[in-house]
Amino acid sequence: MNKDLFTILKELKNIQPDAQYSKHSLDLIFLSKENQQSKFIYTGAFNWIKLHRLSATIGSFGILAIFAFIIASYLPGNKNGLVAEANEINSSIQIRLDEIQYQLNNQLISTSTAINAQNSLNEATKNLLNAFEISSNPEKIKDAVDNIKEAKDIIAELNSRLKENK
Amino acid sequence: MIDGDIKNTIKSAIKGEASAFGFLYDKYQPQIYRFIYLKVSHREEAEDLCHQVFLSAWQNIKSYEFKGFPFSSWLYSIARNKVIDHYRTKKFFIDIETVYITEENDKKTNESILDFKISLENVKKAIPELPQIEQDVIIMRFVEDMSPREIASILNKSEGSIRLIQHKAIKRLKELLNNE
Repeated sequence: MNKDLFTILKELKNIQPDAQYSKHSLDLIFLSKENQQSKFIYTGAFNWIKLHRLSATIGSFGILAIFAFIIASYLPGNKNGLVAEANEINSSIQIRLDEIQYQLNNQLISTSTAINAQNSLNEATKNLLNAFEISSNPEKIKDAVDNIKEAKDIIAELNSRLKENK
Repeated sequence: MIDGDIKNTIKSAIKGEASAFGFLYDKYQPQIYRFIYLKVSHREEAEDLCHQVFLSAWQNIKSYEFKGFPFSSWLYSIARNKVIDHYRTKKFFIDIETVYITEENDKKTNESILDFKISLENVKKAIPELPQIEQDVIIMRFVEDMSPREIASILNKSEGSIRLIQHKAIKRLKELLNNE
């Protein structure tokens, strides 16, 4: 131990909760009382918070999708079409994610809906991660594109399901 | 002693004023989160339990009675029970994650940051290996800088016992760190 134990223990005071989590948690606490559905909220609360995190994570994949397509665009004969498609898919994913975030913020969802939504977002994340990993291999560009399209479809379907849940 | 403003805020929260409870949440949530996080060593579990603590506090705030100790004492009691229940009902796994480093720490040189992080991680890993009561005392006394009297009230023990536990806890923590 190069550093004094007590100094290190004091430094642990720098551990802070995530600001977004804190805000969502407080919102849910108030919601539980307002709606007199504390048991429901209690069980669904963290699926809900995880959903927000997942959708935010996927939001960052929009940028990854662009990278994947930029790599693809350097391949001969692929340039214009793929970049245009990348922009379109990226916009589509971002719009759907914004809608999903809006719906998560403005409606109560059941635990089962939350779990299903979480599974969908996990699946979309896997597809995008896979696309990003394989996109550097010119031979697998088509597979990467398919993965990204699949993620887009999953997100669009989830968005529709959440809308119907109203 | 509890100051007048906080006392009034607690009274308002007891009456059901959400903004008053929100103020208390903002004030106490970071330390309760830290307390739980250092005990369970897993961010999502800590978030889940911390949420449960404040949900429970909000739902039961009418039963809160001022007994001469800070409001945080009541929250710590709820948090301890939640963590105990958590250990009872769930098989636990250790997943120590990177600590949030403040701007102050950012000023350190790269070498000292690395050295600091190693030490910090070792201490974080060692704390959950202590007996529950020793974890509580170490966190409250040395991380949160609470007085032995306040800790005694939360843990329902005498100040003498707290000092004894503190002594044992530090000894054990040093042993654990020396074995790293």
